[in-house]
Amino acid sequence: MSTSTWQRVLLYAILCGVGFILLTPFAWLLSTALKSESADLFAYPPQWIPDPVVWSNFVKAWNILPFMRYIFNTFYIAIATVLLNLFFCSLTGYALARMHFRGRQFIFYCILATTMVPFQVLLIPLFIVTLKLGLVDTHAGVILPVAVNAFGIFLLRQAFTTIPKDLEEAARIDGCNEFTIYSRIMLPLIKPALATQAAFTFVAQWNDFLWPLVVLKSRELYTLQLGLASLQGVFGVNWRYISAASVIALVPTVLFFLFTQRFFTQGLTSGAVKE
Amino acid sequence: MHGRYTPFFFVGPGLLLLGIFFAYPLLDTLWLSLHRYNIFTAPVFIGFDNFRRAWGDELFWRVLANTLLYAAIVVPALVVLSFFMALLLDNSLRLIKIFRTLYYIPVVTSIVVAGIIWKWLYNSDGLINAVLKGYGIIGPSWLADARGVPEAFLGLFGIQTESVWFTEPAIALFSVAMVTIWKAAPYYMIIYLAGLQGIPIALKEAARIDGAGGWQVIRHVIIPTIKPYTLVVSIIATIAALRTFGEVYVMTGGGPFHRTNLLSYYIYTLGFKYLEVGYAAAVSVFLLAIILIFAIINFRLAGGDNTTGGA
Repeated sequence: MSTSTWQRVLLYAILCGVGFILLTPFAWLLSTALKSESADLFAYPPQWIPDPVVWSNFVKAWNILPFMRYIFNTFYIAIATVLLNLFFCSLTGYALARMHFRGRQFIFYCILATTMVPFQVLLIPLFIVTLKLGLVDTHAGVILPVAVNAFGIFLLRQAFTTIPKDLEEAARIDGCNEFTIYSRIMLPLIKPALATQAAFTFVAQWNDFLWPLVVLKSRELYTLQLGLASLQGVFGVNWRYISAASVIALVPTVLFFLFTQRFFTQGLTSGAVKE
Repeated sequence: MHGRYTPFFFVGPGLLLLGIFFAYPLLDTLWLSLHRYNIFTAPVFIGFDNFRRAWGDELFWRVLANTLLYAAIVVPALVVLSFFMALLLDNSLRLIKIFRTLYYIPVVTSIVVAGIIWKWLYNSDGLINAVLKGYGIIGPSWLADARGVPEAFLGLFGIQTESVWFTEPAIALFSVAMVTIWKAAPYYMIIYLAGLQGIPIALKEAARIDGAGGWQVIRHVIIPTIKPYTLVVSIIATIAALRTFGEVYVMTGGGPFHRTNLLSYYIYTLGFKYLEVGYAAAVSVFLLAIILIFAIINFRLAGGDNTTGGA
């Protein structure tokens, strides 16, 4: 069907309208972050384009909070989680997809069932476990509880099931052992699924708030999100600095998303519903 | 074939981690709910006292009502909005990929940043009230107003009411719910979009939003076809709504007068602020029970396992 010109114009108009509603909050955040000390934040009508545009709020926010440290901590936690998560989830997913053993179905359904239990229900006992393991106020304490997750196992298992059996048998005839087949032959074949899981895990860890809030006590161990949340107290109600700091925290996630976005849509749409 | 024990070397590490950080804490929640415990002294077995306490705890009922009310606002809104957004994005316009990407940005925004942004927008002299002022409406203090939404709405027309039926949801709870909807709608939109793209082209083309004819197709063809996706969206959205924490922590701290206090936040404050670990565990058991009830209802409605992507 060929869409007529006026239909296209109408569609674009609606698309822009919805986009405007969704993205206006970000525009207002940026506008506030760029306003000078003398500009009235509550001016009526609202002043969208700051006059003058100043960058000093970013400098101020950067100097008051140890941003470099927070960014480093967050990066470190996110990368370590991604690596461990890919390893454990792919190992488990591989066995569930391609090996035959007693209890396989049972284990698979148990893992699926875990998605029904929200993290919040486990919050306090999980903290107690972490405490007993001596991991409270450590980055390992933030990472280990999310080093494996049901969604990841499920996603990678689905990817492993699609690989033809012949490949595996050819490798076995060549004398490869099971671990070599998994690591050298199978893993490279599910790269798209691994990338999806990596992208999801990275953003989830970068943005995570509740668990780091509970585990981390020392400020020098804080993640970006914890630092940002603690800002509200530091700056009182100076919305210029808070906005600038929020922009600093937001930009890396948005950039990361823009470069990896196809993995996000793939992950969301693979396996959610079986036709 | 692989050796008899080889599979267990593969599933072992993952299961061990799930055991330590999932299964054990889950059982521990049940165990703790039967004890009085403050982390520092040994737990004392008290039977079902924590559950009895919840029964008589007015704040618990307040929080439970808030949570259910909140889900009742958020879930239908998300199902409807994300469906129509997906419909809007399901075409082959040249720039459509750009819109799909831009729409998704609220999803990858952290809850802390989202909370800060909206707290600022909701400021009693903030952007939203400035816009309303343009229409001659004096907006409320969105995150601090305990009046009911219907009550306040009637008030705009000069109608005063004392009836308890108009006191829910509080304006503040409604405001928090809007943030959740804004942040989550594009997520479910992508799930719906996948569903729409699975519908044969001929049907979809007839369904372009171009007036009454299109609406008939949406109603009688697309909505029935997309039903499995609606069930997935509603179950994920329900579980997500029932566990909401960040919005409350960053924007309201549960106030005013506990009108935005939700179960997850209540559990957090009980456990980590008041060290009422046993009681917090009992409330967690309630939360788990509610979620399981909703999950079972949803699966029943789905009629079997066609929505789990099962084995």
